[in-house]
Amino acid sequence: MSRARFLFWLDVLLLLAVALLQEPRRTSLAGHEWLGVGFAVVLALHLLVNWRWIVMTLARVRAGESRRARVNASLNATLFVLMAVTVFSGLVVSEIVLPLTGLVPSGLSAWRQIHGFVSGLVLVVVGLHVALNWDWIAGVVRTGALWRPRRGATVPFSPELLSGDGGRDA
Amino acid sequence: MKGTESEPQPGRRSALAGAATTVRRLAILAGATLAVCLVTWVLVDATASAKARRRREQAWAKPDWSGMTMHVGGQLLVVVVAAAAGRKVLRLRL
Repeated sequence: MSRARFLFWLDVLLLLAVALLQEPRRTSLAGHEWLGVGFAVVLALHLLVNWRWIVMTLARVRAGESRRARVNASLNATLFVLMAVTVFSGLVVSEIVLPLTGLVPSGLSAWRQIHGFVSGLVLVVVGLHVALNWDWIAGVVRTGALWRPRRGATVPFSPELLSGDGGRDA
Repeated sequence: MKGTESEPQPGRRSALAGAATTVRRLAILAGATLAVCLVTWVLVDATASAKARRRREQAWAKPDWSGMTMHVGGQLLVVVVAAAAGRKVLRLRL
């Protein structure tokens, strides 16, 4: 259960970050950019801890098992591409983080337009991603173990979470 | 005792294998991300030429926390509506 709890709170963190990142005027440009960098790291963690599920889904698609597996994989692949484009376009026009590396932000307006448009689209696709995983989310919440760590429960995060074979169902 | 000093303990071997797996997965992830970034870069480079008019640094220099809860709540509402539509209309399920 501790693994599910870790995955759940990691997902909640990502969702809140996605919502916060839509408001750069509120967080300030510096806050927005650093939050974006942190978001990219947590997103990579999210993908690593769900690696087995991703591999299994891709295997089901390759085997032509079901239409549902294809739809799910397409939706998650779309979300991955949109997230990558959003973070990348944000970095390309970054005025705080990018100059720290000695690089100059691009002056092309297209990057800002892409960043604004795709980040808006991300919000909708995140909603569809939540819909896709709704049964898992509801299952974790229903157990009531999210806020009550069990006595003797294992540490929620361990290196095995990244390299192990545990999936969302673990 | 032969080989005991050079061969790692089972626990250590497992940790090393785990680290290698994580690094391999990270490399795959980085490769996929790099491919997406490269395609985006090539497309923008080939098609766009208009320059941005102004920098945003001055306009968004300081955080403005007023109404933050409402604004973030609005963004989360978009996610909730999309999730409800995905669930009820598109019938998305694992």
